[in-house]
Amino acid sequence: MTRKILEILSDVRPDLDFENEISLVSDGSLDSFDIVTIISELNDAFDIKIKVNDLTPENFNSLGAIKT
Amino acid sequence: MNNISIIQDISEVESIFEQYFHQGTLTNNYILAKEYENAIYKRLLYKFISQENAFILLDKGNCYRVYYFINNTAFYEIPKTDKVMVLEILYRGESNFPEQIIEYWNNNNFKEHLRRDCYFLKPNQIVDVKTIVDPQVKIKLADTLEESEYAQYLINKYLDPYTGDPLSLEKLEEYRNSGYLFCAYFGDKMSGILQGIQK
Repeated sequence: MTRKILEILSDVRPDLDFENEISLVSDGSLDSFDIVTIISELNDAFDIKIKVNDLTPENFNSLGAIKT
Repeated sequence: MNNISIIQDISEVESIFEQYFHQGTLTNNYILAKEYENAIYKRLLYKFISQENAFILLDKGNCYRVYYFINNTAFYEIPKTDKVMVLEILYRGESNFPEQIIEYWNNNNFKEHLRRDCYFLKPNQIVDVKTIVDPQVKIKLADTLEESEYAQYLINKYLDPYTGDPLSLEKLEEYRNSGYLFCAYFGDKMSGILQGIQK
């Protein structure tokens, strides 16, 4: 699953190092458009239910946070 | 005559997500959780539901910003409002050009208002800094009401009225007092402003 998630993230933002970055939103690398794009792509791939409370910058600061 | 209804609680947004945001939904929604809460608190958020599609509208004063969740592009019923409706169609890279959703909104009589690119640079990516030294140019922290008023004049004159975020004089004074407003002078004439945002 991690590999699939990494694939998705890299498709959205091929310029970012998702495996090692831990402040993706805090340092401005990911913006709110990226967050929603990532959620849409994860939704398409895994058919997960997106909740409003998922839409917080903290949930997208790192690969670990995104996986959670 | 409006056919939109005010959103009074975050659970209504949750319900829209639950029913209308799933695999394959065409959406431009990029509002984060805290922004939803703020808008609801200020009574600025509205909704319109039409069969398989849902719309969230944010009252910006002179217009509504429309955030759509489209699951059936063959169905054209959209909100009716007493203000201009504006929506953004965002995409990254030409391979993601959103032809389908553009066609949907064109078929609803929406017209392209403006198109823009977004450029981004992190401080650690700067490779060279060129300094232009002109003794007539001075940049300083704004420290007078007159400079805040000039900032408001520039913002109102040059920002797009529907997609920009015009700032009140009160807000600009807040920025000035917090050290987030700079003013540029050419000689003794005000010639530009820089407004920062604390994150």
